[in-house]
Amino acid sequence: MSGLARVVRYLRPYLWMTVLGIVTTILPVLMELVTPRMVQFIIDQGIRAGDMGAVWQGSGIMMLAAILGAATTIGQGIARAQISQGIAFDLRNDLFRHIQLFSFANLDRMQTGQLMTRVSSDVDVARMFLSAGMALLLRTLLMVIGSLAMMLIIDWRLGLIMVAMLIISGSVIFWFLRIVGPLFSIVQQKLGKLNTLVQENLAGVHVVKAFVREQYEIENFDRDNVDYMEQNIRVGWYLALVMPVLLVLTNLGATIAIWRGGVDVIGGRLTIGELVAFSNYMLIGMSPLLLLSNILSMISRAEASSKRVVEVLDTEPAIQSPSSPALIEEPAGDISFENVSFHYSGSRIKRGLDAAAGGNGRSQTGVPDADPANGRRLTRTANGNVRPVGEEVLDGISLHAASGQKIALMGATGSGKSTLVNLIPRFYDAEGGVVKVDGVDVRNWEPVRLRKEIGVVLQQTTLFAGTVRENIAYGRPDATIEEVVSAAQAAQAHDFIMQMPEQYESLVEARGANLSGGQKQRIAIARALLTKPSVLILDDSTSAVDLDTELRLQEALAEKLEGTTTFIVAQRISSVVDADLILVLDDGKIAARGTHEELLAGSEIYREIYYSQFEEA
Amino acid sequence: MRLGFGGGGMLTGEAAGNTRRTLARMAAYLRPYRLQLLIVAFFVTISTVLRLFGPMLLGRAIDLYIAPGNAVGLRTLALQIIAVYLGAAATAAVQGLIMVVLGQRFVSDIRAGLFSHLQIMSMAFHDRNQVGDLMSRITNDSEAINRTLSNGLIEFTSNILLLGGTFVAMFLLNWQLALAMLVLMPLMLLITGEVTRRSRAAFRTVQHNLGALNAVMEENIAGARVVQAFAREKEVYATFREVNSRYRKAGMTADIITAALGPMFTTMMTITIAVAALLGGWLAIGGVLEIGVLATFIIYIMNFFRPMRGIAMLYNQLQSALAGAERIFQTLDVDPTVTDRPDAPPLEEIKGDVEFDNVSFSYDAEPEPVLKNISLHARPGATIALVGPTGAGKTTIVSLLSRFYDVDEGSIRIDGRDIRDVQQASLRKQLGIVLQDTFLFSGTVRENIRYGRLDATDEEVVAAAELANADGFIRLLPGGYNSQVSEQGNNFSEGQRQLIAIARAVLADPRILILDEATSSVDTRTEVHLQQALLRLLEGRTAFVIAHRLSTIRNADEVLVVNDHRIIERGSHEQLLAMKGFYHDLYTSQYMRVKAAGPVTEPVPQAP
Repeated sequence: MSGLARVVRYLRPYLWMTVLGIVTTILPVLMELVTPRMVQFIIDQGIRAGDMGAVWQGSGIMMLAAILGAATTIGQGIARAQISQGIAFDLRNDLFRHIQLFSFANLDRMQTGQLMTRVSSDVDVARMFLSAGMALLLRTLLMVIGSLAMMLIIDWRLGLIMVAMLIISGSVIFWFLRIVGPLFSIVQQKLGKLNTLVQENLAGVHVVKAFVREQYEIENFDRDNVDYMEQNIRVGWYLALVMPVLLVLTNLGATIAIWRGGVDVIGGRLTIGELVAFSNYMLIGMSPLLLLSNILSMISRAEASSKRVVEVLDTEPAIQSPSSPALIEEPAGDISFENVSFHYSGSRIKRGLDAAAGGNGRSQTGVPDADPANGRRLTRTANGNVRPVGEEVLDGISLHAASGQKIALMGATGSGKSTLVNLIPRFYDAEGGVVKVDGVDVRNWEPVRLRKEIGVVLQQTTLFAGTVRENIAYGRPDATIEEVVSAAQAAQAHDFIMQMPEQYESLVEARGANLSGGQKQRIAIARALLTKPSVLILDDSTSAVDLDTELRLQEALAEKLEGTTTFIVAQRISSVVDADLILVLDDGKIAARGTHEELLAGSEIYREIYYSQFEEA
Repeated sequence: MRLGFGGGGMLTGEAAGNTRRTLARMAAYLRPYRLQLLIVAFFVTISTVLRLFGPMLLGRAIDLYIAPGNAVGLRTLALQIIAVYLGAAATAAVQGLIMVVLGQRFVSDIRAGLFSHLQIMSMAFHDRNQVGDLMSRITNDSEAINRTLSNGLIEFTSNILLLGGTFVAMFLLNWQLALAMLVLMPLMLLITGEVTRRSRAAFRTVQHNLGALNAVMEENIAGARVVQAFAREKEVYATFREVNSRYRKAGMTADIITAALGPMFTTMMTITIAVAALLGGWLAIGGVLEIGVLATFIIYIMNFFRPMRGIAMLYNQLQSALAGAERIFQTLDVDPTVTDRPDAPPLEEIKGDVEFDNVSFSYDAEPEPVLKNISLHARPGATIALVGPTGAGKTTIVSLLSRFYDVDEGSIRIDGRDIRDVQQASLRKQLGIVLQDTFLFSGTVRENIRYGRLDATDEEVVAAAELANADGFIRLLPGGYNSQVSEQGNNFSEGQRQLIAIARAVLADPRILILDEATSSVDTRTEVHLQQALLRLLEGRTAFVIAHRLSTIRNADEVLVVNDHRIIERGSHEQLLAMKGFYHDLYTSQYMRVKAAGPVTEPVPQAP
């Protein structure tokens, strides 16, 4: 019950509500226990004695108890809603905030659908237990204990029969919890898998349609859907069986008690009124026991889900903030790499949330490929290749970019260009060597502060739902419309934005569907420019922009970026000719460095790149 | 954030619906399980009758055996009662087992139906609806139905039977008292109706906000890298918190209403028992009523109220299922905008003759046309290059050819057949498309390439990768072709993703190949090799190539220059250069840039 125990800790802010909840749970139970007692009172003291006054008295107490019970139960409902919804709210907030702390290295191994399942479905499962389950459990326990006490008071020998029955039922329940708990965990895991498949399918719907794979996708979905269903059925069967078993046990106890009680009445050791009261207590006390199977499934489900929630909270972000971050007064954008090497190492990440462990949606075989045939463990690098553990993606990188310089990175696909620039905003931590911004190790910067200094245009353009203006002002929501327009103008985005139906207030559709690739890239550039960074990283960010526009963009940037250190990853020579320093990367090492002229004279690879493009023209 | 955008197929606001109609539609999903439902109903009846029998026998115990002191009779009766309960439990187990399967199949049918429906929806629909909200409809909304149904149906039936049975038994026992109970019925119905009316509204808001919450999550988890790059965590969290708090508020309202319902009935029950005891006590003292009858009657009152309370609470729970069902049906009710005509034949194997005849088009939310009067003709085997500034409409042209959207005016013909007259699937099967937005699925590299043609052998996959110049880096991966691609292909560089996407299209072996900026992020040295391979590939296939690098374009049979939503120039590379127009400017500016950068001093080649 480690998961639930953690979740229950969230009760703390709702201490008073909890007290109210407990009190209002106990009171109605007590009120309900009054009823049989009063019925007995009416029969024995009233009817048998022929005393109408006692009948009035008993009925009156009963009604009073009913009204009191109702008032308290409504209080209980309010307390329960406050607590359970409050805890779920806090849990979801904590989860989401924690997920935001995950660095790229964490995220590379996780699946959006799986994380979403944990934040919404798993939290809701826990919430339902907190809301209905916990109150029911408390109520059931109170009812059972209370009525058992009453039964023992009326006749302890008959009561003992019920005690025996409860012990047997308890064992059944215990056995059930142990079997069903892990099954529920699998149910949620399969739900996460299903969610992942749907999420990928919808995010990649254009590819699905392009290749007419709707049927294939439906088959994949059906497979996971059936998988999820079958797991649900498996759990459901246990539930369907345990209920009748408890039913038999309860009623067996009740019948035996009545039988023995009847014999006692015949023997004169018990009054009929006592027996009627006894059987009424049995009815009241034992019928919640039948609800127990529902509560049980709630508990074991909630435990399984809580564990999954806690697992997210316990996954440490691969990048941690420094305890005492350095204070940088005037960021200048001076960047240096000192003998930096990087390779992916999963050591710091708990494997619980690993996407590969959960399996992926489409893999027909279901065999995780994390352990390839040749025995080397496969690992993912920052951005580039999948490589064996330990192989360097970046190896001995040293460079210095003075404030305001333009540094260009060139090299083959997968040579480590993106990885290198991703180390500057500390999206990943270098394994060896130091990356410094303004002379301070990036690991000593407050990450948010560091990233506010650095404008990044990532290779994959991601825009968000909202207007064009909101997207450009993403990094600085308080920017004025003039500033937004100015950034858009520099990014060569202003003209096409003005042609959109509502200009800056036009909505960006899902996946930026109403914008072309080049337009999306230019909005992303405007977004980065608006933050007025001291360092700007353009990671292949004009690949879909036509050459004319790119030329104008380059000129505008040169003007706008006066004093801004710029790292530009590019394929086209034309994008890098005016760079202060060009680095040619080859397989994670700097193969050549210099200005355009120097490299043209001195670097074989650079000449090859140059001629491959010159051939074009 | 996206409200007020009532484009076709946009699912906005809370779903609403007529209860009876929604119920009828849900019932339609139960139709295939009629037989099982009948069997369950049969068992429910038996187990309910048996359960009813129990207290009745117990009641008889007092008057018939205990009071007269018949211990032997009492033992027989006890054994009978045990047998009755054993029977009740056995039937309950059987009905439970059947119902679990049935209920799970029912919701999984709904999920599958919804997913299939989303697959046939047109691109316009997917452009307008957020992934997270649609996900929530498939899982969370169907789960809301599931919660009600899996237990609800049995409980509902058995409660109805218990109620009826109890009433009959009461009536037989003492009809005056039983009639008195009936007076309470309208009151109960009134309370239930009033409470559920409120809870229905609350449940709708709950499901709606859960969808919104999922949308925020999906966008910001999938886009977490950008959130971090711009250090926007605080603002994103504020948005999440706001939607989250709306979800909490709606949930709390629903919870409180739901919680109030049960106690109302319990209170009514206690009051009724009190009244019955008073009345019964008076009658018993007067000698009109036996004590045993009164005791049994009180048990019956409990038995009467318990199913009533159960029914009311189930009805309330049903409101949550209905709220979920409404959202699902709302989605199912959106028709795809691009549809096959009912009698549309499949497109037979094509030669690859493509003709755009005066095509105009605008995305339906926007009044501005994206394409105006586009006409073009590609003979089988021809390569058509589309050039022009970003946003000119190049991608839209190939999207229309793939029939992701339908043209507003004019027509597109392949081998002389209007593409609206044939089945979409048969059209797209003969197209190979490498889209601008490279998208890989999680799975292995091999699976991703095989996505182009599912029955391709491993050798064919490798051959396609070789042609796309992807084989080299794939082989260097420790897992080779079995290496895992993580979500969105994040563990590959954009250039590598593009090469895999090209291999995927190559494997499809299409008659018409569409390359939309297919190599924009591939480094130019690799591209040179790729270019030669592509030239071989394009032989005998009609091709549409969108590129900014002019080397690809030079080899095209016809170059179409698209600017401002129109084709402004057309002709071969040489013809266009000679025209000294837009294309000439584009070409020379690029050439001059490269030339200016290097030591090579040759004149601008007019024609090779």
